[in-house]
Amino acid sequence: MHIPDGYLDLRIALLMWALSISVVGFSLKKVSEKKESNAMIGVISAAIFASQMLNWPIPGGTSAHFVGGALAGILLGPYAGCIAMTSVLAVQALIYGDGGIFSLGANIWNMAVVSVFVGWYIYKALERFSKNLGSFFAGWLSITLSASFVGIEIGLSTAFKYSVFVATSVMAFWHGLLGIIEGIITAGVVGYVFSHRAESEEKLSKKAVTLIALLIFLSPLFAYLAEIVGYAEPLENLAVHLNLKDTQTYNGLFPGYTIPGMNSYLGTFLSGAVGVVIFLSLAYMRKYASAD
Amino acid sequence: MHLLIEKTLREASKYFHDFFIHEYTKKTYLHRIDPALKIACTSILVLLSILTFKLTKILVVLLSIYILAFNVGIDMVMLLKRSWLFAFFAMVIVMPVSFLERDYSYAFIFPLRVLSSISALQLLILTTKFNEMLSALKRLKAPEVILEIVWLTYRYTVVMFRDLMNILLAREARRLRKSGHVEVFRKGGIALGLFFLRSVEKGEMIELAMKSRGKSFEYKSRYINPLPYLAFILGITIIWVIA
Repeated sequence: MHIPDGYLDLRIALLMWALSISVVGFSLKKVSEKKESNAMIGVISAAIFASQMLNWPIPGGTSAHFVGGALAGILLGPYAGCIAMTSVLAVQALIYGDGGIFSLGANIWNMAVVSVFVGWYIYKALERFSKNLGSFFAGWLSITLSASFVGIEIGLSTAFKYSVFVATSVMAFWHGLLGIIEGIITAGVVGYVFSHRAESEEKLSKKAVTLIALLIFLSPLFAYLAEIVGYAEPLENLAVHLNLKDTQTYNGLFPGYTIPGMNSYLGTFLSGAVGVVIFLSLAYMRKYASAD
Repeated sequence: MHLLIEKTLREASKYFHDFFIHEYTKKTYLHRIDPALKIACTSILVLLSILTFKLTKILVVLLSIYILAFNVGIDMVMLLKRSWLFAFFAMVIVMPVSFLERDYSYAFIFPLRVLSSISALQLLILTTKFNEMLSALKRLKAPEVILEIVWLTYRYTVVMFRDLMNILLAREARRLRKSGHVEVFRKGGIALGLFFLRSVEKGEMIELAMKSRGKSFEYKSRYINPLPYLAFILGITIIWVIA
């Protein structure tokens, strides 16, 4: 899942760096506030690194390996888990050349932010029913969503000729299948560790994130309703009325809040999700800019 | 389980091979350049590789990386060996779209961009010790907490890997009969769970040890005049702009 340099457009690589820095910076702040043990994070990172070497043979001559984002989040909590995975990715990039320098931001976003935080929230949402079920879905869905983000990033890059729809579908489909193994391993490890060390569990409020997630999921419905009532921007109506020509040369990454080549509702949903992430990151930066 | 062990042992030998090989023992001119400068110049080389689809420009960067490696005495076969797989993989990925759109040059140029940027990064890795790199990042004002964690990850990877191997081998030694797939998965899960449990305990012990003994990845060294290296990178950049 590591993206090497050369796959991403520079603007997307830099955008992903900005997003990752904001989340990792916020996580660092949280970890420092809670005075979490650096040794613990470092050793768990090393353990995740080592367990990534366990390859599970897949019929057809290939193999899949454990990624461990959700596991890191569940074992250490989302913030320390994010730092642990960032550390693993940094070592992989700087020692093994696995994942490039400019694409490291995107790799951190996919495997240290999306995988860890999504995994952790899924686990927390489902643990009341069953911890095993929660950690299985956390492992499975976190890796599938991470892979989907890889698809979106490389699909939006002009350097990569596949459309965002193809890239995202392929990545999500294969990792959706392979992710089942990730889910099984995550459930097994979490069950074993928590049965021996119940105090390792972590808690965090999730009201705000639930509300934001709900709004993102509702965004295609608004797009549908806008289409039904024939809604257009008032200025656009005026321009049509005045017979003005469109001379805009740059239409942005998501023209008209859609993603080129993708179903318009799915495009609205994804562009909305990306927008929310950007604004959340900016809000976090703004909130903590004056703190230190 | 035996299949898993065999596969793991294969991965282990490859892992150790890669792990130690990056500490390239041969000392070259590039080893004595300030790592902070090397990181900056490597970023420039990667940037020049990924900012263009023009074949001549990519070839300029790629050739200059290998000329630089040859000139300072880096094993070029090793450099190529550590870079080609990523490029080959990129070629396999983009080949279908290249044929579908009848843009055959894309199947060649895209992997070449990847090869060029990976080679630049591998040249940095082959000529810089990890503690030097972290020390340079510290001087470049990277957050100290994260550098410390990265340093711990690097230091304990070998230890943790040996722990994992020991657990798996102990399980195998205690096995008396051939297990079914469900049993293999169940025992594998327990083994991995035990491994992470031990990791948590080891983390606590290491934290205590670090508090009593202190911790540091400081690296002090005298670096040589980087002017020829900087002039070379500047020259490549000028040729790249003109090409």
